[in-house]
Amino acid sequence: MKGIKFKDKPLGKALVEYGESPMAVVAFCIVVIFILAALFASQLAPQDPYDLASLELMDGTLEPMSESFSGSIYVLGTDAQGRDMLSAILYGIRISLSVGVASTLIAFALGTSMGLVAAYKGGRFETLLMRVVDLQLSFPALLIALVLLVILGQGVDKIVLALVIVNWAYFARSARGSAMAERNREYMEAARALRLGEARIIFCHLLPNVLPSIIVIATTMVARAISTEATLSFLGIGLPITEPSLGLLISNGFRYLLSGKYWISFYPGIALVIIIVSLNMMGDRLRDVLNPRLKR
Amino acid sequence: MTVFIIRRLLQSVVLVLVMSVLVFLGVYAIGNPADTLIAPDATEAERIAIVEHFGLDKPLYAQYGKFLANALKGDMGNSFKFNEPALKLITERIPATLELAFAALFITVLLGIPLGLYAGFKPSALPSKIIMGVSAFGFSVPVFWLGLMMVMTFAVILGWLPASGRGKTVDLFGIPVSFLTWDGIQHMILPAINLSFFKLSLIIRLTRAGTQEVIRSDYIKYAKAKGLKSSRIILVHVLKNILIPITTILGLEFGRTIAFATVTETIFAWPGMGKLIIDSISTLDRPVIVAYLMMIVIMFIMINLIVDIIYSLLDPRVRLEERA
Repeated sequence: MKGIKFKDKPLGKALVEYGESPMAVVAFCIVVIFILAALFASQLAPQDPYDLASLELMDGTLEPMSESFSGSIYVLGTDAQGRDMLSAILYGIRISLSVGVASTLIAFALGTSMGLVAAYKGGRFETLLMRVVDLQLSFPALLIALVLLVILGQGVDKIVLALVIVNWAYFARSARGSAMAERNREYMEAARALRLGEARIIFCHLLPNVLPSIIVIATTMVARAISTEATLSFLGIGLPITEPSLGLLISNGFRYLLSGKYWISFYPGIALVIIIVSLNMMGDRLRDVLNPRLKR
Repeated sequence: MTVFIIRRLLQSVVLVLVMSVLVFLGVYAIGNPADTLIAPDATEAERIAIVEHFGLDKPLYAQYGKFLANALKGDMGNSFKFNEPALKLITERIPATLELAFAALFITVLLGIPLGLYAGFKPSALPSKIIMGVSAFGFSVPVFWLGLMMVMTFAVILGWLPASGRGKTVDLFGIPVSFLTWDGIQHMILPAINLSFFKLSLIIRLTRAGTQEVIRSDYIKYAKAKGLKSSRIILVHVLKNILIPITTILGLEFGRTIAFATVTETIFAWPGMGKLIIDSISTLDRPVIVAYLMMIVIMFIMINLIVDIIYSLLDPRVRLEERA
């Protein structure tokens, strides 16, 4: 492998091809910025929005760019408690992204392994699994999440669990689909002929070959999970008030929107839409790059 | 076909029973309804009387048995909050939700198919690119955000349309409807567009993809060679062939519309069953939650069954027996 340059290896090729679409590069940069904002929210935010001591009630519902009681500037205005919206949004991004990423990773691990095992083993397990997947996918995700949260109650762990239950089926279905195409390939026969363990065949040989198509789904799934969480939090059945995600911020500002104080809802909403649209654009581009069936 | 339907109906009954246990147990686990029902300053005697009245002191399986027996008689219990039969509360609100859902589907079909056809016939024209851009956007943004932006723009800033409620209703065969009064239509425009936006984007994409596939086919070339008018080619030859997938998707989307109506109804304060369930969850109105969830489960099983049957009728290649 020594003589081959990085850009000629599969990963390098995919990266170069991804970079050929300027929109996709912009989307990638935005996602990176959001991730950094989430990681360093406490350093970047001008104010700790949930430290009640640092809030000034005199500064309640100030317009964007207005001066605070103590002289600093609220770039995006404040909410009814005098909370700086910019800081609240940075912390909100942190919560929204963590819920989206955590739930997708768990659903990814669970769904993919179930799908792979089903495709490899076949038989009754496969039939049963696919029945459950089909049944679940015939109901809208929002509805299932709604029912689950009514049953489970509020909380970060509960919403992550609900999103995992909603999303694992998509991973299971596509992992099985891709694995079905792979399971009779020569390398799989070779692995079986070598009498490798089943777990080793499934996770060291089968998994790497179905991974590209699942990564595509994972990207759009993060977007979908963030969107579903925001919707549920907006309806007041998602996260509790102590974990203000973007959806919850939007929900809190909804009352003020009708009286013309748009910024409490508007800016968190913009942040939410930018991250969701960017993730979807990344997913679309990845699908074009990684899906061999679309290659000419 | 008959065998398939009977088998599916039997499966559905089992599914409904399983769901009823899950929903009942699950909803039972959320908080103690006695706390929300009884005023904090009630005496101990009043407290016991209320707990006994609603049967909250009995063991769980006894409560479930009673619930199931009553449910089979069409009695889902009385709402704790309104003190009216839960099922009646829901059925009263079904017309509002259905009206909104049908309005959304109407907009979807009326706009989506022509726009998709246009984008399919002239893929490189500027309007097509705008249509596809908007549809990509509508595909990814959350419904509730779009609703908020619509309220902000058209109700708060421009003041063109009302932001909440159903407006004036008239009775049509004893069912109140909004679409027959101007006030009602004005109230319906924003929520209906909000609810239709995702479906509209979907139908535009489907129609466009279908059109592009169909116009390359031999029978379209043949129709052109025969010198048929292009309006006839579009309406008869193209449309007929792309209508099969569109009908199926619209059928499946109907279920999603009912689910997403909860979001739209909450934003626009539309008095449908979606708003009722969200209000009931926040007040822990257990009978209403259970009744709503059961209704939705049954509704979805029926929608899925009907879509499967229609699909097999439209496309003879689908053999239902094999999938059952």
